[in-house]
Amino acid sequence: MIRLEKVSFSYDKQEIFRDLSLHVEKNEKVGIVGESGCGKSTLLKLIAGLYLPSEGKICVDGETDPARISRKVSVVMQAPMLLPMTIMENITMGHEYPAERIDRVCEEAQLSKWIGTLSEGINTYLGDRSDELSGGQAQRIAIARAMCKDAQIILLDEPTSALDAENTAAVLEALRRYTVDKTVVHVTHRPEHLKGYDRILKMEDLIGK
Amino acid sequence: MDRKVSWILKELGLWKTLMVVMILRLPFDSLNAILGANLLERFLRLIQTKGRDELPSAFWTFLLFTVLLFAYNATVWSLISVKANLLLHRKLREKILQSMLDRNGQEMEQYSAGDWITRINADADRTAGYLMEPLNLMHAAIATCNLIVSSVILVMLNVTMLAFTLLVMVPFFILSSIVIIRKVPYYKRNAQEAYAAYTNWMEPVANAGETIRIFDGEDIVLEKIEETSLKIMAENRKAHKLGAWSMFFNVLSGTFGYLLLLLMGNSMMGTGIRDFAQLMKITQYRGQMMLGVMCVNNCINRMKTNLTGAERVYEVLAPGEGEQ
Amino acid sequence: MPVLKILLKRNRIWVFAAILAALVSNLSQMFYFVFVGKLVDKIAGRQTIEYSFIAILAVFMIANVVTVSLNHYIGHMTAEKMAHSLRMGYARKLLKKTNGENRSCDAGQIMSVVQNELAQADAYLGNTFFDIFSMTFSGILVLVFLLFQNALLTMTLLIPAILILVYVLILSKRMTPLVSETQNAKNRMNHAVYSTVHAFPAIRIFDGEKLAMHTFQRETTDWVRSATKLERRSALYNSLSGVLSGIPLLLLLLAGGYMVLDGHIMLGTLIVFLNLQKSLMGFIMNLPAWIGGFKIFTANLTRIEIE
Repeated sequence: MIRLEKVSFSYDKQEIFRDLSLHVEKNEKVGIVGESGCGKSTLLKLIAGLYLPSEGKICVDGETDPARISRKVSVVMQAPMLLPMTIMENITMGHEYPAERIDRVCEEAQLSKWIGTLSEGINTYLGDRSDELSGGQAQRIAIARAMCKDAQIILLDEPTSALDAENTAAVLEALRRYTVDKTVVHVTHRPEHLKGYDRILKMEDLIGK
Repeated sequence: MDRKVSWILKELGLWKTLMVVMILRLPFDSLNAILGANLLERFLRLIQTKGRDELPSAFWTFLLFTVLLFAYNATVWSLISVKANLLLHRKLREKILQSMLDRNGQEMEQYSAGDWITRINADADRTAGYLMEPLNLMHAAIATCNLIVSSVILVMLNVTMLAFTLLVMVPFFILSSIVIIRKVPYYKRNAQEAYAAYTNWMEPVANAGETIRIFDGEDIVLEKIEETSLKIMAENRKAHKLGAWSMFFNVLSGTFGYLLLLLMGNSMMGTGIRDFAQLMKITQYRGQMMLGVMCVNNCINRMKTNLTGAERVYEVLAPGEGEQ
Repeated sequence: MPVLKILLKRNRIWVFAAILAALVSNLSQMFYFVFVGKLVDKIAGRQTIEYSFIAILAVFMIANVVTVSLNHYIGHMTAEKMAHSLRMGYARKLLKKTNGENRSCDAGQIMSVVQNELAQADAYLGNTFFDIFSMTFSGILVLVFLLFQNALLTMTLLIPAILILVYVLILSKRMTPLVSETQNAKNRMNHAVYSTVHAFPAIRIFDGEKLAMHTFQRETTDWVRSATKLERRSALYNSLSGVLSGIPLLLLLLAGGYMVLDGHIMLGTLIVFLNLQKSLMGFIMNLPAWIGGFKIFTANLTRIEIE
């Protein structure tokens, strides 16, 4: 499903990594661990088609064109990256989805209870109140957004790094339930977050393999 | 002059200096207006009376007067006005800084560091600007003097003409420069706020571009940005519409007043007005009156902006004000 | 393609309307002045002024007033439409960056462009661009119109005006080092304030008030010295410009006077010249400042990519 062959990436003449290879099968859950700054996030962005490799080949679900690859993956990043729009618009990103699907992802991301307490519900504008949101709430909206896209490939970039223990557990549980039949690549520097994964790889093992 | 600015001037010991500068600069615009009106009258009379031989002497005479007038201006400006202006800047800054240094830590913390810096630098500039810069107090006084002198000369030349000038000028001026233009700052402020909203949207575009791309959200984001951009345009459109109406009445007042004066003058030729040359002289003074009114209006608007700086300086310097 | 060209092309209907409005308003203004000239001839020649003539004059006056106001509105709206295209074009460019391009666009840099170059270009388009366009257009049309009225009299006005323009350009170049020297001195003075405010607790504890004041006074003295030099020179140059700008009018009256007396032109034509010379002189005298402003505007645009 995901194939990276001898991929190298440089930025501003500085080489981030060289000859990196990775194969991930359909529905496989792969965790990648490594120290901060070793290029984990860059690797995810390469898989997502956001960056172009300086050398090597990337093929995701049979696609090699970065723009097409971006359409086939869903990502949850370290920062939730909410936009100054309503909760609904942040989840759907302006696309028309059936109401049941939106309700379901809110339920799965454990947002429904909180949304129910808001006077304008899912149509609450986040621009004025994004400061009032807790890190957990914001990240759960980002997860709901990723779920709503319903892509087969899910890329997770330390989605719980800014959360406390309670929220981390809740978010990881929501992600675990959602990704049962998905292909997952999860990068983190905390291996304990990768319980139940099919493979856990070290970043340095991928290079020059 | 504003009470607080006047207090600051007295505190700095520059009241007399400013008055001297003002008195010396006051006659310039009026003398220039008188020179311009007489220049036109003299030449047109010579042309009408076939005074061909006197044209060169009129040319050299008025050139000489122009040189003398501008030499006077250069002297007052470069020797006295510049010195007074910079003395004002210097004393203002030193006084505010001294006021800060005289405080204990708690009193100092009444204002943040950034606030102190703004008061000593930008607000001192605004206060000095209020008093000395073009389109502020000094120019308002000069324009008022020009307006009064032009009106008095017009009374002496022909009272009826002054009455007609005022009749056409005043209602249109009130309409264009006071009534219509009143809401322009409000729309401009709204446009600025809309630009801030646009900037707010550009921040996530800059920081969350990858998320937007992954979730194919370009369309909705562009739609939202367009809302803010259209809001800027809509608010500016309202301001430009008022600007156009203001211009309509200003130009109408100018052209209608000029034509009316020519036609009235024609019917009064020989009785109240000596000849065509004098009629043109009257139109010149009318032009100066209009210019004076516009200038005073612009100065008042500019002074309002700078007054906020002067008020903040007063807050620091005036005893008891800071504690309020 | 340069950004300005794209903006003009994207709003070509509005730009065309603005050019048309400027053309119509200037033509109506000139026709109005021609009729004022005819009125002056009638008054100076003590001829009867017919009601029909006054009616025609009134029509031209109203046409002038209406077209000038419409020109103001359409011109400013064109500039607003261009500013909207600029804002949206920049946003579209950032959003539509193809995959792989994004590493080169730094968020801090984008926000700096939004808050500086884009904001300045936006304000320039909304407030200044049209006025410059309109006055340039008007200046050129007036020049052509006056040349058709009387080429010799137009040259009498134009040649000294161009010489003054050259003088102003040379002066502004000579003033540039003084301006930057004064600005640097002011920055140093402002920086002394910054340091004093931030070091206030230490100044209080170590009794450093006198030293702080002394440092500040030293910087202030430097600034006052260079500002005095700059302001005095600017006072002299501006006064000289004032004298020089009076010369074209004097020459116009002198040469025009001879022409009227010799029967080459009517008195009304001279009055038309007197009325229109303000537009022409305003255009020529403001040219250096406009060129400076326009250069900053285009420099800002070079830092903005649009889609």
